[in-house]
Amino acid sequence: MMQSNDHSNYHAHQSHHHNEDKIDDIPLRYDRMNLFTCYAERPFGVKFETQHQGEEVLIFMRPHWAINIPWVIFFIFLIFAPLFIVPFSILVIGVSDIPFKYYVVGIAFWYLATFGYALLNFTLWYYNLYIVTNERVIDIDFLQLLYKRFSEARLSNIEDVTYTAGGFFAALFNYGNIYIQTAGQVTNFEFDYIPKPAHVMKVIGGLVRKVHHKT
Amino acid sequence: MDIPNLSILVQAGVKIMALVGIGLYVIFAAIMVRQEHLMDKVIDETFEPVFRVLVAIHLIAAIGLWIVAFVIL
Repeated sequence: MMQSNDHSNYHAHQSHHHNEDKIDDIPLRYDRMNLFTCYAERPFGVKFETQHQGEEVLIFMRPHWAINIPWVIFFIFLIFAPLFIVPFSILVIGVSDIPFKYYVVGIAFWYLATFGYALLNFTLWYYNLYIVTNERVIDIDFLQLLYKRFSEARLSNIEDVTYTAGGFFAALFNYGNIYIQTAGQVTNFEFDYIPKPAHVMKVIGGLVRKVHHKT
Repeated sequence: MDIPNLSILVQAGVKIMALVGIGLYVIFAAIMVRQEHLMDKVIDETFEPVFRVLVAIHLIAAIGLWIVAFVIL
């Protein structure tokens, strides 16, 4: 593990980069992470597998937390469902003679599977990551169990960045999709349901201009 | 049909089905632990240990339920 919660390091980290807190006149904060973070600028304690020495994570993103609302509602329904199903099965269907041990195992399995359902959905969200560094943009996907995808595009290969944000919930929670068009054979990128898409597009655009200006 | 009077054979069949079903669930829980371990290498951030504990609890609970079903059914 490469992480630390040392506050002094955090402030050293801040002051070290004090003169670099703007990308193309767009200010970037220094954010702390929590378990449900879906957007963080210059997050403290985030490292990734192929990170180079001197490569700094500028924006760390997951899809907006609001996209979890449908499965969370269903999860709550699953929690309370046995309160209705068990009395219904006893009173209406007339299966009150089922031995108690079957109810114990059945209900325990129900709640285990409910917990597993929530854990799986949370995992799919938690490991769907988008990272913007001072060198490249990275898309890490955990599409299903035992299938992961790591894609990257160097800033120098990025040609165009656009975003779309449509619909009631996208407007309400300020999330949208960013499309990154890259040069040549490099795969185009799509960052789905990310928070603050307009701001992210400006930052990536600023970084790309900076890189192209240097070259 | 009165369930407590079912034959021992039927009860054994129910027990085997329950153990197979929960056994498959244990495999699913183990895969989640493995996946978390794989992703841990890809990204390293502050709250990952919390998540690691959650998937471990899930696997332990699944194994525990399999044992309970084996004993009481």
